[in-house]
Amino acid sequence: MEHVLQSLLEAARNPAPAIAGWKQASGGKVVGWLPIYVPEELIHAAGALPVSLWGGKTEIARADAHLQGFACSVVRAVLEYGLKGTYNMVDGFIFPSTCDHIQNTSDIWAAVFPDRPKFDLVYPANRRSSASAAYLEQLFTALQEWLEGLTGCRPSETKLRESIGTYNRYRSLSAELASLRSARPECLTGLEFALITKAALFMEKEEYNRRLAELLPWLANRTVRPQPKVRLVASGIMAEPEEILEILDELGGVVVADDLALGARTLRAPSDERLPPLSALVDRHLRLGPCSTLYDCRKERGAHLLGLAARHNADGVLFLSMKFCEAEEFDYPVVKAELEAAGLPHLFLEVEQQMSALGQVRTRLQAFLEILAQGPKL
Amino acid sequence: MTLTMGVDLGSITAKCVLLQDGCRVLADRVVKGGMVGDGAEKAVREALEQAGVSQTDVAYIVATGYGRVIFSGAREEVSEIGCHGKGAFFQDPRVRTVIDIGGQDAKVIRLGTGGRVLNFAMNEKCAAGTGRFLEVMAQALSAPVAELARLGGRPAGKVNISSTCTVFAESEVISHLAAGRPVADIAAGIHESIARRIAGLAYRVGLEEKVMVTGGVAQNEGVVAALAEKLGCELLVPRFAQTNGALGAAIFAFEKVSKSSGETGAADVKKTEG
Repeated sequence: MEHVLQSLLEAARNPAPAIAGWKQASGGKVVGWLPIYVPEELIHAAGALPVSLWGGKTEIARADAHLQGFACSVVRAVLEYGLKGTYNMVDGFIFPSTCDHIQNTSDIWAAVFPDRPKFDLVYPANRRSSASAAYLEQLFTALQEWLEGLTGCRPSETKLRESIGTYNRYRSLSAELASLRSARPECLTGLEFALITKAALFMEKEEYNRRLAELLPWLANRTVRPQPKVRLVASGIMAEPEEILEILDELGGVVVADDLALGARTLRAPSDERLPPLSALVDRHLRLGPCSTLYDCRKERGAHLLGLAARHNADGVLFLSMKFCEAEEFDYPVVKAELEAAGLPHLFLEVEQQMSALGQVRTRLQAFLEILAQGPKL
Repeated sequence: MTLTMGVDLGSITAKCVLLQDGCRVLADRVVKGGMVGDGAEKAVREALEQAGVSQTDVAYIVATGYGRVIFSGAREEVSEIGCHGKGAFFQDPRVRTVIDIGGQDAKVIRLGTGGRVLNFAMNEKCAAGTGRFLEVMAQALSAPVAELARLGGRPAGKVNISSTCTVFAESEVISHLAAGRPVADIAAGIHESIARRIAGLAYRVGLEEKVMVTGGVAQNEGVVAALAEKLGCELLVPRFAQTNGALGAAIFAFEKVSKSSGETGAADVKKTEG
């Protein structure tokens, strides 16, 4: 079973060969999408391979000609990969209106690559208005038409229902993996968990589901490390660069639950399979959250984190704040006050995908774990 | 008699403290050359010589500082935050806030009862507000870094160094020199600039008295005075300011030994002595 695990880790670390392989075997189109929320089910139903473009650890050189140094490291990396040709196998691009960085990168992208198909998924900022659902339904219909233009395929309702089922299965298997991490943290390293989660973003979901379903019973009996000294909830956009997780593993800290965009946030809220397919996807989008990029006047993230910590018996919260991510930074003061009021310790750690000097990160993490290992305040 | 040792490998210097029974400092050494070179070995050797003991007499060694991961001589490593908290509380149990200004980073640590670390903040990735900043500025003034405090001692005025970035601040200093501003005023401006950065950090964590300043930069009276003025409170500079982290590490080492052997802790030793 080790080889199944290794295949997922490899897919996450080096996705290009698998994507190219899929393309050659199927003759299908590859559709790349930027963070955070995209109804992948529509891409899947159109017979294309959805591939997430969430940046990566690459040296930024070409992208600096188009984007300022204070743009977030994810969009800088995405543009860099685009300019370097890493995305040459991608046939179409979806830019959701997640944040200013992604929206503006979409405009820059259009200027740099005028001939590459692109769809701007402009979400309604207000998800509580009665018009939101109607608007979303139109938006997803437009996305379907764009996909049809790209792939030449208009999926039947049955096919759409199947795709929604496949994605619900993917999310429920991921939830099982997450429960296992909390119940038996010794079965996986933090980095392994993150890479298994990430592998899903580059693979055909039927194949991913099959491998994950095989892996779960094996993991339930696997032991790769001692019981954690400290249990944490991780919150933020993503737990990258991966050295952060390696340092945590080394120091005996374990993330037992997360509120990461590249993680639990996108895996929440299964679609309601009783609804007509498009309505099910619309309904799901309206139920997503809490997330810094989804407007919510009720500000539920603090309560959500406190709930996670209580359910998973966590000692503290680790904020992995993506540098220059305004959405996350606007959320933080509200959440900070709530965590402090509840007496739950947290560490605010600013991260960038391309950071390489991790000495300070290690010191902060170690000091935070030392504080938590002292036990609750007297 | 139990001997323990703390080794603090900083970015610029290596510090070593040799502790007897968790309460008496037998030796404290500061040696140039921290993470790179043989600074650590030298500091350890000098401390052993100062105390007149051999390495085999030392029951336990704890390492801290940036180089703690690469130093092979220690049984255990503890973060600088934990060690500075521990050391400061040992030097004065009234301390509730520790401001440690080292070679390449600055930290503000809040302590609770019993010296427990409650919270901390560190400077961001750049050298603004650290010892390295002082070194670069001293270089621009063609003065040894130890002379800076004296130079800024009696300024007629104070120039404003507005750049956070060390490299830009150096250009500012050179411009002020070229404009004929007195060196004393520029040195005072440099101290003020560091104090501003540190005060910002301190406000993030929340300041509670007594406040202690540790680290190499604590030896610069100009910075300490500027910081005291900014924060509006008295700042304690302890006897072992630069070696406070190593002292904390040595205390951790002692606690480790006494826990495993069931010996009495430092506090009890003090009591029986008194």
